[in-house]
Amino acid sequence: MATESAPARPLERLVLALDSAMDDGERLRLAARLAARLDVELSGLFVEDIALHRLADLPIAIEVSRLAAQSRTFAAAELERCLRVHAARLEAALGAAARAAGVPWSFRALRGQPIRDALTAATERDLVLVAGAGRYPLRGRGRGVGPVAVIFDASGTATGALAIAARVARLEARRLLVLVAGAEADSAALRDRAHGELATLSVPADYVSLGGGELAAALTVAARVHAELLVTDRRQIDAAQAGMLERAPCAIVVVR
Amino acid sequence: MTETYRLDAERLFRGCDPEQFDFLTTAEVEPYTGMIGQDRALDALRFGVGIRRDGYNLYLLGPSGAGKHTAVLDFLKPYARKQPGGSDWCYVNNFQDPQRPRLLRLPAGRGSELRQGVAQLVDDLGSAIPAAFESEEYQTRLQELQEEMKERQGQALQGVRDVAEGKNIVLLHTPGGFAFAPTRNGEVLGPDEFEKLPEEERKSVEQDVQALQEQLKKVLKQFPQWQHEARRTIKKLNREVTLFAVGHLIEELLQAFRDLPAVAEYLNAVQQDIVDNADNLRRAADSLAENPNIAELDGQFARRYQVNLLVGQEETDGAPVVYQDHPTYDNLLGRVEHTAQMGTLFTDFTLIRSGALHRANGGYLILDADKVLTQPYAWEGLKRAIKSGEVNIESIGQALGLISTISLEPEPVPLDLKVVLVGDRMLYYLLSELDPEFKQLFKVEVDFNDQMARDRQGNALYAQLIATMAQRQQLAPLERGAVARVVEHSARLAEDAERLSTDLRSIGNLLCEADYWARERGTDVVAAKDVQQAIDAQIRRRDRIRERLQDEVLRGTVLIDTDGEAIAQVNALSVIELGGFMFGVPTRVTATARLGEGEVVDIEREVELGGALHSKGVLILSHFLAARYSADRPLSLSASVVFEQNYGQVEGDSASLAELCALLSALAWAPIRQCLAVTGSVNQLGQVQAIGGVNDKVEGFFDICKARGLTGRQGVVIPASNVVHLMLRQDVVAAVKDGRFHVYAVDSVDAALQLLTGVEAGERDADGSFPDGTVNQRIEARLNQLAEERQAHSEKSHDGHDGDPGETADGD
Repeated sequence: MATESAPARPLERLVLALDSAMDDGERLRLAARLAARLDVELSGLFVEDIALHRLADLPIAIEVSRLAAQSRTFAAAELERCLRVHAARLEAALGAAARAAGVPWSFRALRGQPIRDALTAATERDLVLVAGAGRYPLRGRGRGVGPVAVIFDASGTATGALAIAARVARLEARRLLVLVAGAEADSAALRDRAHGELATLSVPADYVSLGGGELAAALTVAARVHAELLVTDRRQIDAAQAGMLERAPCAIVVVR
Repeated sequence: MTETYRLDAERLFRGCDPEQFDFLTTAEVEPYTGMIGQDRALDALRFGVGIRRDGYNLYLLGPSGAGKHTAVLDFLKPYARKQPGGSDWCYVNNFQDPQRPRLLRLPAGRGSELRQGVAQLVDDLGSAIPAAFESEEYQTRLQELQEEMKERQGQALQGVRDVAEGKNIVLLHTPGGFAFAPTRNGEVLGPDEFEKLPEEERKSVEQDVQALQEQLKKVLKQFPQWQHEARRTIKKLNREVTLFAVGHLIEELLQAFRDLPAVAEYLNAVQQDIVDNADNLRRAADSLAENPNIAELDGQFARRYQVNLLVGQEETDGAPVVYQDHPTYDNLLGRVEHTAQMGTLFTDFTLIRSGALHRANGGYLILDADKVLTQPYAWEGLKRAIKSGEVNIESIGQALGLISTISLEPEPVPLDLKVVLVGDRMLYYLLSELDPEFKQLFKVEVDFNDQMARDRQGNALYAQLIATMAQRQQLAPLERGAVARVVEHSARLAEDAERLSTDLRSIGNLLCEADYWARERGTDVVAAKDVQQAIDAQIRRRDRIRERLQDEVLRGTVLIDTDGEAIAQVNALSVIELGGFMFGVPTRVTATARLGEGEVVDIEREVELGGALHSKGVLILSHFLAARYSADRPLSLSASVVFEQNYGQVEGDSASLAELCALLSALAWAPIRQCLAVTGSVNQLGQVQAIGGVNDKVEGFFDICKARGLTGRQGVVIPASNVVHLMLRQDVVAAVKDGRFHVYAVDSVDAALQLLTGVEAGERDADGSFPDGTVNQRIEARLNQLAEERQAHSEKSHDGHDGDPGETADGD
C-alpha cells in the first residue's frame, strides 16, 4: 500500500475522451460544467477506434444498424466519412457546451485505442473524463442527485483524486463518498487517512470499504448510490477489464 | 263692444302664492322619493315588475325630460334589494371539448370564491408538482426504471458479446451501430491476417459473424418495445406522483363546494385532467426548476384551469339593476375576445366577456330604446335572447352566418330578467305597429304624463319635488317665493295655467341656473329673483333669431302694421320652435276675392309650403262661406289667401281665423284694425277653437307693439278656450293692467270680425236676413252680387258660344 503524499499540482485541462460510439450531449455538458467549476480548459480528444478501421478492411465487415436493426456493408471509405462527420458533430457540440459554460476549449482527433490513448495523451496536470452514463440512456430528466464518489487507497495519485473529488463535491454541493480500497484490515487506517486529508478541506464525507477488485466494486457501489461522478487514478483504469468502463453507471474522472 | 271680449289682467297669469307653503326654504322640506303626477305610470311599473310571466317586459314611454330614468331607478333599486340576489356565472374549460366552454352557476359570491380557490390550487400546484418530481423517492424510482432499462439492454448486448467472445469475435461500437470482428490475442484481425487463415476457418468465422448478427438484430429489435414499456411505466409513475401531489389540494376545494354538484363535477374533471397531463406538468415543473419564475408555470397550465368569472354578484345587494347606456350588440350579449399570438388570432374560454344581459340576469336591465334600435343588430339580439330565454355569446358574424371559422361556442346562459326599455311615445307606437314581436315581448306599457294638476296639493308636491332635486344636486335651498316662481314657470312650460309640467329635466336645469345666479349674488339661498334671472338668461341665450325677426319687422323689412286700418289684411300670429325655444311672431295674412267658381285658393298649398293641417283650415273656410252666405246658390267666388313674406313651411290651422277674417274683409270691403293681431282656428260653423302656443303668440305681438310704443289700442284676439292656458309675462300683464295693451277672447268668427272691423257682425233676423250695414249683410250682398254676375256671365257665354259643354255645365 503506497503512502506517499501527493504534490500540489495546478490543473490545466479537463480532457474529455470521445469516441465514435458516443453521442451523448449530457456528458459534454457535464464536462463543460466541471471544467468551469475547476477553472480549466476543456479539451476534447476524439479517438477513432483502430479496431474499426481494421474491421472495415475485412471482407466480412457488416454493420448492424442500431436504429433499424438491419445489416449493411461496412466499408473503409464509408467508415472514414462517418467518423469525420461524427468528429465534426462532437466538435461543434463541445464548442457550444464550452461557450455556454464560459470555458476555453480545444478539440483534436487521432486514431488509436479510445480510452488508453486518451489517458496517454493527458499530462499530469490534466484530468481525463471517460465513459460512464450508459450507452442507451432513457429519455427523461437525467438530473443526478447522487454523490461524488472517489476511490482512495492512500497512494499519491489517490490522494490527488481525493482532493479533486472533494473540490468537485463542494462546488457541486454534493455529498462525497470515499470508497476505501485495499484489504479489510487496512480499511480503518485508510479511512482515518482520508478523513485527515478531508479535514483540511472542510468537506464532510461518507465512507464505504470496497474490499478487493477496486474498480469493479466501486462501479457497483456507484450504481447502487446513483453516484453522479466517480474520481479515481489511472492505475484503476489500466487494471479495468474489457467492457467494464462501457457499462459504467456514471462518468469517471481519471487523475493521472 | 270690445269690453265684452276684453280680459282682465288677472286672467292673463295665474300666480302661485308663496304663503301657501309651510316652509321658509326647501332645506326644511323632506325629500320626496315618489313620482309626482305619475300614478298611472307607477301602477303600471309596479305591475310590470311584479308579474313573473314571459313577455311581461316594460316599455316606459313619455316625453323627454319627464324623469323616466330617475323614476325607474328610484323604483327598482329599493324593490330589487328585497328580491333574491342574482347568481354568479363562470365559464370554465371543457377538457373534453375546449371549443365549447362549460358554464357553472353558483350562488352570489361563490363564483369569486371558486375562482380564488382554483387560482390558489394552481399556485400550489406550481410548488407541489415540482416538489413531487424533485423528491428523492421519485428520482430514485425514475433512476431505477432507467437503470432497469439500461441493464436490460446491456445484459442483452452482453449476452451477444459473451457468445461472440467465446468464438474469438469482438462486438464493436460503430458510429451507426454494431459490428463483429474476429480477434486474436485481443486484437482485431487485419485483412492480411484474415486472408492467411485456412479457408475453413474463414468460412467458420463468417458463419459465426452471420449468426451473431442475426442474434444481435433480434436483440436490437426488442429495444423499441422495451423503451416503450419503460416510457409507459414512467408515465404511470408520473400519474401516481401527480395524483398524490394534487389529490389533497383538490380535496380541499371539493369539500368547500360539495353542496354544488356541478362544481364538484368540474373539480373532478380538473383533477383528472391534471393527472392525464402529468407529463406536460412535469416538463413545466422542469422549466420552473431551471428558471424559477412562477409565470413560466402559469403560462403552462394556469390558464387551462382558470375560472372565468363572467358575472360576480357578491357586491350586489339583492337582485341586480343594470343600466346599459351604450347597448351595442356586444355590450348587450357579451363577446369572445381574441389575442394576437405570432400573427394569429387566438381565443379560449378565459377571453369570454359578459354583456349587460348577463350582469342583469336575475334582476332588471334598463335600456334606452332609441339606442338599442340604432345599434346594428342589437335589437334583434335582444329580442332573440328574451324569446329564447338564454344568452348565446356569438359574434355578429356568427349570428348572421357570415363567419365559418372555428371559434368558441360557449354554453348558453339561461336568462331570467326583466328588460325595461325607456323611450319616447312615437317610438313605442311605431314599434307596436311595425314589429310584430314587440308587443309579445314588451307587454307592459308604462306611460308617463307630461303634465299634472295644478291645485293646492299639486303645488305642495311640486314644492317637495323641487326641494328633493335641489338636495340631490346639492344646490342652495330655495326660498318659498323662489319655489312659487318655479311653479309658475312650470305652468308656463305646460302652457296651461291649470297644469304643471313634468319635464323634470327643464326644471332641474332651471334650479341649477338659479343656484348659479344666487351664488353670483353672494347668497346661499335662492330667491324668486334668482329664478327669474335664470329664466331671463335662458331666453336671452336663445333668442337671437327672435330678436332678428322682430328687428326686421321694426325696420319695415317685414311688413307688419300695428296701427291704422286695411281691407283684407290681418295680423296673424305664428309660433316658431328652434332648438327647443319657442317664440311667437306676427305674420301678415291677406286675401283677394273676385268672381269665380267657388274656390278658395290656399297659395301656400299651391306652392307646397303649406302642410296638411293648414290646407284643411283653408278648405274649411270655403265651406263656411258657402254654408253661411250661399246656401241656396253657387258660391261664385274666386278667393285666395296667403301668408305674406313667408318663405318657409306653414303648418297648423291656428291662422284659419285670421285667414277667414281677411277674406271676409275683402268681401265686405270692411277695413281691419291693424292694431290687433288674431289667432285661432275656426270650424265650418264659424266657431273659434283653441290653438297651441297662445302665450308665445301674445308676447310676440306685444313685443313688436311695445317696441313701436304702446298706444292703448293694440291687442291680441285669442280663442276663448285658450284663456285657461294663459301664463303671460309680467310686462304683458302690467301693460294690460294699465290699459296699454289688450287681450280679447272670442268664441266665434262674428265676435272676431266685430273686434277687428269695429262694425257689428250681425245675426240673421226672423226672415233670415242680416241687418243692414252689418258685416255679414255686406258679405252676403257681395256674394249675391257675384252670383248674379256669374249667372249673367254664364248666360252671355252660353248665347255666344252655343254648344260649349264647359260653359253650359258652369252655368248650370
